Amino acid sequence: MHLILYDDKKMNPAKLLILLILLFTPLLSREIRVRPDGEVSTLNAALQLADDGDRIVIDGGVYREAVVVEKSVEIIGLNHPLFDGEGQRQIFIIRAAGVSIRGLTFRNCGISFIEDRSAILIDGAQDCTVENNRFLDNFFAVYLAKSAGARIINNVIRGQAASETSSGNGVHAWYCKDITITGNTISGHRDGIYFEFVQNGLVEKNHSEGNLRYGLHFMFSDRCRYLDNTFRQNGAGVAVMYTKNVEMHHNRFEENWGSAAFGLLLKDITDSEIRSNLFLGNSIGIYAENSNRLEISGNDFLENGWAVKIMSNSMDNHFSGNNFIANSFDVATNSRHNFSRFEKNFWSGYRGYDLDRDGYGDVPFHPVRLFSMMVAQNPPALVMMRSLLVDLLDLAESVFPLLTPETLVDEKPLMRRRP
Amino acid sequence: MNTTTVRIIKFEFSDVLRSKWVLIYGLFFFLLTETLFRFGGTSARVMLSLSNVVLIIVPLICIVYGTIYLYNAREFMELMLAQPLRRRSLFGGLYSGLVIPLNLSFLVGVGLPFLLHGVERTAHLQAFSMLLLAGVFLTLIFIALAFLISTAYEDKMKGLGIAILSWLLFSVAYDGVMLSLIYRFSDYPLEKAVIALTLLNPVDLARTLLLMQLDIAALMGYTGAVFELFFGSIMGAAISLAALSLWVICPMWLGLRQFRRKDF
Amino acid sequence: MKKKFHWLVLWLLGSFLVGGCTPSPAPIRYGQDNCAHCQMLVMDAHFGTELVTDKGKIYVFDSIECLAWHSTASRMPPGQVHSRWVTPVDAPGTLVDAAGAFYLASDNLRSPMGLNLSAFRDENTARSFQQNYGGEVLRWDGVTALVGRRWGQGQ
Repeated sequence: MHLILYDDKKMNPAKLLILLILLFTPLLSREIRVRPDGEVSTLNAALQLADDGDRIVIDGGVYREAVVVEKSVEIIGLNHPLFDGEGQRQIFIIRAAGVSIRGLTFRNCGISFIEDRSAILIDGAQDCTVENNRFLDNFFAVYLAKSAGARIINNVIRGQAASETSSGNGVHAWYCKDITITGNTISGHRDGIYFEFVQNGLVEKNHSEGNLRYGLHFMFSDRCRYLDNTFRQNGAGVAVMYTKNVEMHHNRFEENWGSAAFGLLLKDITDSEIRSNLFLGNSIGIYAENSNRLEISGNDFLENGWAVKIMSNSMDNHFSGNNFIANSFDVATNSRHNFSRFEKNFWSGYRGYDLDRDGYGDVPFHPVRLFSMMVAQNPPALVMMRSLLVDLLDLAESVFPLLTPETLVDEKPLMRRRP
Repeated sequence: MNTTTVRIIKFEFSDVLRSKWVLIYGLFFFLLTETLFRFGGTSARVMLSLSNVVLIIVPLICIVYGTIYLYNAREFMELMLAQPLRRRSLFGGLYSGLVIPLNLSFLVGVGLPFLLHGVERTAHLQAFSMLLLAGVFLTLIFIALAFLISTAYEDKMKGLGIAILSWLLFSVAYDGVMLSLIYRFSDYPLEKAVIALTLLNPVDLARTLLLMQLDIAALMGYTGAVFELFFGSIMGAAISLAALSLWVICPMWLGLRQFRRKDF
Repeated sequence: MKKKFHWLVLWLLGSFLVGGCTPSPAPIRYGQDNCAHCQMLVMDAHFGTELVTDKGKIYVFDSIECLAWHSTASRMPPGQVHSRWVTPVDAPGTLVDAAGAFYLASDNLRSPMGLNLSAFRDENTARSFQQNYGGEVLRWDGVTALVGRRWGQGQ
C-alpha cells in the first residue's frame, strides 16, 4: 500500500493526507509490552499507561494481580503468561466496551461463597472478546453479567477436582444478549455452560464433558441457538427450562448415565426445535415436562434407558423421522392422555410388515409398554423389571390395549432406519 | 462327609450323567448362549437375554426334573435303606449327586461360549460371575425344594403338580402380590419394604442382584439409588448371600426331617 | 412352613410400614437427589428444602421456590402435608421447620430458581442480612403468595 503511493508520480494533497494517516496510525494505537523483568512489569501498570484502542502484549511469566480493565484495550499473551489468583482473588474484571483478551492462562481464583468469584468477570461491558485462553482450577471461569455482544471463543476451561460439590460454572451468563460461545472445551465445573436471562445467544461447537451437574443449563433464555455441541458424561446431563424459541441442532448427548441424569431435560420449553441430534447411552434421552409445541425430528436415540419420557402435561409436540434403536424403553408417559404426535419414526422394536412397499409399516406401532407407564406413575415398580409377570402383562396389554395411551401411536412407522 | 455319602454321590453322578436330560440341559444353555453371541453381539446384551432365561428356566427345570428324578429313584432309595446306612448320608448323597451334574452342565453350557467370545469390559466379568452365581444358587434352591416336595407327597402326580405350582408362585404370583402392594401403598416410602420383599423370594432376589450388575439401577431414579446403597454395601451383599443360603438350608433341613421319619 | 413365612412377610411389611408412619425429615443427599418439582439435581447446600407427607414419604426440592410452588399446586393437597423443611442460608446442610423460619426476598442474594429467596432460623439474622442485601423479610405464607404471584401467570 505504501509502495503504491510512493510510486505514484502525481502526489496530490488527498493522497498525502492518506499517507500521513497511515504513517501515524501505529502511534494512535500504541503497543505496550509487559514483562516480569521489564520496564512495565504488571498489567496494572500497563493499564495506567494505556488509552482506549491500545494493545497490551504480555510476555510469558507468572502475574499475581487483580486487574480491573476500564479502558477499551486489546490484551494479548505471548508464551502463555499465567495470571495466578492464588486461591484468593477475583482475577479480571472488565468494565469497558470492546476489550479483547487472548492467549492468557488463568489459574485458581479460589472459592467464595459470598460472591460468584471468577477468573474473568465481564460486568456490564459491550462487545468484549475472550479467545484462546486457558482457565485452570477456577471457581467460575468466565462470568458474563449484564453484557451484550460478548464472544467467548476457543478457550480451554478445566475446573477443580470432581468430588467438589461447591464449584462454580465454566461459562456463566446472566442478563446478557447477543452473545456467542464457540469452540470451547469445558470440564470439571458445576455446569459447563449456564445461561440465566440470556437472549439471542449462540452456543456452537463446544465440548462439555465431565462437569459435576449439567453440561449445559439454561433458564429463562429465549431465542438462543445450540448447534454442533457435544455434552458427554456430565453428572446430570443437560437441563433447559422456562424458555421459548430454542433451536438445538446436531448436538451430541452422550453417556449421561445415573439415577438423576438426563440426556436432555426439558421443563417448560415451548415453541422450539430439536433436530438431528444424537442421544446415545443416557439414562433418559429426552425428558419433557410441561413442554409444548416442540418439533423433535431427525434425531437418533441409541441405547438409552428411556429414549423419551414425556409427561402428559406436555402438548402439541411432534416427533417425526427419529430413529429409536436398542433403547430399554422407547417412550414412557404417566397417563392415558397424550397430546403429542408420533409419525414416521423408525423403531427397532417394530415387528410389522410392509405389504404395499411404500416404506412404512402397515401396522401401527405402540411405543409405550404397559410396564414403562407403570414405572412412570410409580417409580418403585421398576424393581419388577424383567420379571416374568411383567413380560406377561406387557404381552397382554399389547394384544388388548386398555391402559396405555391409545393416541400415542406411530401410524406410519418407517421400515428402515433413516440414514 | 463319610465314605458312604461319597460313594452315593459317585454312583448318582454317573447315573445322572448317563441320563441324557442333564446333557440336553447343558447343551441347551450352550446353544442358547452361542446363538445369542452370534446374533446379539456384545457380551452385555448376551448377559441381559441370558439372565431372563436363567431366572425362568433354571428354577422350572430344576424343580420339575428334581421331583421326577426323586420319585423314579424311589426303588433305589429303598434298596439303599435296606443297607446299614444313615438316612442323612443317603439324603446328602442324593442331593449332591443331583446338584453337582446339573450345575456343572449349566456352568459349562453358559461358560464355554463366554470363554470363546470373551467379554468387552472387565466390569462385565463381575456381572457374568453374578449370572453364574445366580444360576448355581437357583439350582441349589429349587432342587432342595424338589426334595422337600417329593418327600412330603407320596403321589407322584400330586408332587409334580405342587412342584409346578410352587414355581409359578415364586416366578409369577409373588411378583403379582408385590406389584399390587407397590400400587396399594404408593403414598408411603416403599423402598425399604420393597427390598425386604425382594429378599424373601429367591427368584426376585437373584433377578434384582442381576439387574444391579447390569446397570439398571440408573434407570430407577430415587428407588435405584436406595437399592444401590443397599445391594452395593458389604452388609447388603452379606444379607443377600445369607438369604439365598437360607433358601437352600431351610427346605433341605425340612426335607431331611421328613425323610428321616418317613416310612418307606 | 408356608404359613410361617406368610406371617414373617406380614410382620416385616407391617414393621416397615409402621416405621414409615412416623414422618420425619431425612438429610438431603446433595449431588444425588433430584428436585421433585423442577427435576434438577439438588446441588447447592444453602437452599435444599423438603416436604414430608403424613405417611412419611419425603419429597426433596432444590430451592424454597420449588417447595412453595409444589405445596400450593393442586398436585399436593394440604391435607397430606405433614411438615415442610428449609435450609437456613447461613447454616448449609441443616434443616429447620419452614413455618417457624424467616425469609428474605432480595435480588442481591440469588437462589437456584430465580426468585431469590433465602431462609433464616430467626428474625434477627434475617434482618441483619436485609441490612446488607436489601429486600423484604417474609414468613412462609408471604413466600407462597410471592411464588404463586411470580410463577402463577407464566407457568
